[in-house]
Amino acid sequence: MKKVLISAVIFGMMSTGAAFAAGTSQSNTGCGLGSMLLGEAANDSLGLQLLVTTTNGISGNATFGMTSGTSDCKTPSRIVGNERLNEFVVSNIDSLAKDIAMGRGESLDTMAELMGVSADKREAVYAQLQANFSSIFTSERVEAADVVDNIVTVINS
Amino acid sequence: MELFIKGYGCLRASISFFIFLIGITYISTTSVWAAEGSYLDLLLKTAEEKQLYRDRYWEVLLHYKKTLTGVKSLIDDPRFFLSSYGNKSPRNELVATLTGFFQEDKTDDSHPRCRFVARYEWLKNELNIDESQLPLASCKEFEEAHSRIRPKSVVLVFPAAYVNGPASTFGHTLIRIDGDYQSKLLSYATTYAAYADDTNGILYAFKGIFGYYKGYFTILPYYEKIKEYNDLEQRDIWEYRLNLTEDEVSKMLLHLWELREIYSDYYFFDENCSYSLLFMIEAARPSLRLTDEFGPWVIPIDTLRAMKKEGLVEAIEYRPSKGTKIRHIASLLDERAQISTIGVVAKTLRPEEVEESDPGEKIKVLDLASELIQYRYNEKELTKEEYQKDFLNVLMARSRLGSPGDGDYRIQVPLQPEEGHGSSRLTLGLGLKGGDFYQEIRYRAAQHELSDPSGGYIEGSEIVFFSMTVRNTPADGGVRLEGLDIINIVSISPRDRFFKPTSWKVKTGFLQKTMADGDENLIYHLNPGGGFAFKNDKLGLYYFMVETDLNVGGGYKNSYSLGIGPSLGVIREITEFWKMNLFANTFYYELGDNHKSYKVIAQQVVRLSQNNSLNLDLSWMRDFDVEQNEVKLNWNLYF
Repeated sequence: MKKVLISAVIFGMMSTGAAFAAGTSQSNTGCGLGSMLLGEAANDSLGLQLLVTTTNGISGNATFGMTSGTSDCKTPSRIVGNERLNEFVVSNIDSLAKDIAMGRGESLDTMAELMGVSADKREAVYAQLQANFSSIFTSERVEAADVVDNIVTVINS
Repeated sequence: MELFIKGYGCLRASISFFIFLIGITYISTTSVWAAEGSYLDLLLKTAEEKQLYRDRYWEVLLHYKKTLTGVKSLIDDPRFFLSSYGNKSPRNELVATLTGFFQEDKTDDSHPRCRFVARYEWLKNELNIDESQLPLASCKEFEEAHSRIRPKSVVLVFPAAYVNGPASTFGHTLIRIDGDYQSKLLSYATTYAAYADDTNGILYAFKGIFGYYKGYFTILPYYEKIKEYNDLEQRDIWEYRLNLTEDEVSKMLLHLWELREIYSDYYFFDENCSYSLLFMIEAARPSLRLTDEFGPWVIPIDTLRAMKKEGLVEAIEYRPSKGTKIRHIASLLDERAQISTIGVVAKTLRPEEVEESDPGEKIKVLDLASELIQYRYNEKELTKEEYQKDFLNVLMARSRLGSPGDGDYRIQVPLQPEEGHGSSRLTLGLGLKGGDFYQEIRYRAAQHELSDPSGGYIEGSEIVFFSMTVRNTPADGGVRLEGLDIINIVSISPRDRFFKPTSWKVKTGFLQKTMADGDENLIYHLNPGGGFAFKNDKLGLYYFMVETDLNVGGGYKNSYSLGIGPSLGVIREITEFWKMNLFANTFYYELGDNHKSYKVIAQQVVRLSQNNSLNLDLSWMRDFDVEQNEVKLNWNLYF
């Protein structure tokens, strides 16, 4: 009987723990386009207008964590162990998509640096990625890990 | 010893013997200390001899400030102190800290050596601490953070005001620590912010002002901050590289680590985001005394000015917001192309169907469309599914068009915010009203009005926190309080094809108003209003509003007067240093003391230098049956 009770308590704690953990990845509602939207847009209500903006309130986590919580997303299979790259792509997939479509941009440069693409090869790589945009962003629901894998496929092709 | 006792009896003998015993005991115990080899005691002794608890760096690390009775730390979290008197006694805290390094019950990051890495590094240096004589502690979390951040240099980041939010004129500051990466997006940024969950504006304001929120330092990748300020809040970002050395930057990170998960009461006015960052800079370079320079309030832009004054700023970069980028690209397109863009965003036009003779034009249309789709999603005008579909659709078509030309999206860098006029203002005025001369003096605490030169500020924005005007009219009553502004906020924000903001205003305070009998009385007023504004090359910025006005007190019948009426105005920048404001309104006071009022003002604003300007106001007004003309010349001094 005691064992059952203890197990029940542990299970209960784990469930609430999981629920709490899920809750704290506040704005991570997916791993694709439009997912990492941080918080609320600037509130126009007069009361808040009067004084809020320099208080710069944070709600949710008072976090000293260095990441914004991307652990829920799957990792790429064609590049392994590059945690910074994964974090970056999950959090910046929208600006990355835009940069690849444009053929240049800061997010694209950042991704190239994280992937170790040397500076002299970048122009060619960017042109290649732009030309193969639809092979990289295969659908609206495409996830960050797939984007990375597709990019590697295109570069190596 | 007995040889010297003769003639003084037993008492003397006993005293001498007692002293002898004490002497022996003292010598023995000191050798016991030495014999035990208490390294801690040696360190404590040396620290005391060097008076380290009085050292400037100890003061910086513990955030001690002088009070009437001694010193007190500005940090409120008791976990920041190892001694229970640590927040008031630098000496006790130093002793407790050194003692803490010898703790043996912890070996991980919870050990004082790891929790207080800055204190440890400094004391290690000052006292030549031999680390091998200390119990082992492994500061894994700190080392991981350090190897992730790889601190090399520091940038002070300033998100400027956003359009239609004059309260944001105060700005915000955060610190970015740059490491080895070329891309600055990968740097880490630290902010001090209040942990606030309330959504009620009044409660939020009250708690923020009186320190009911806890403030914490948080650290996030810089790209998250760009998304927050640039994209979500539509704020231009200014990046000021500071000339701190790598060693100094390292020290800053050590102190920042000490403050992780440590709270301090957040006071909107003085112990706010910008003030707290100054401690970080002092921890890097303790010879700077930035935190002592500020009084009852700290405006973020002023902390930036203080750093500039100390010669800390070595380079400046401008990062336009999404809103600024949208406006810029739109300005490059003719009307037809703009309409095509709207069509693409509204999905009445498929991206592939965009017809522009010039492929460069087509590129701009789709680039603008993609920015607008993101903007609409940020404003929650699109669901996520809609956004994903529309965004991808446009980008797909865009990817087939090649790269934009090199100079195409180069946005002209506006005047740096810290180059605008200072936050406080003193005005000396001379005027003529109804035939009587007067002299006037006005003090305004903060921060920017339509009567000030616009450089460095958002056009059409006004925010006043407390101002007081005293006027002397020798021919009519002498000296009197002419007005007291508690809060004024005005936001005149032009509507165009892409943005449709509502302009608005709120003013409240005390001012002199004409009564039915022609006398002037000091009354309380509350004057909110809202409307629309537009901008074109001929007129400048022009606006229409509907306003209400509540006046209380004075000689009004029933002691109040409540009215409503239209107003219109024009703000025209004529040259870089000359601006003209025109304003006209009328109020129909239907409740309380029933009457009508009219006002027309033409104001010239002339910028003489960064912190000097002139106003020339010509006004005509009519309240009840009393008509008056007024001419006023103001000299404004900003500081």
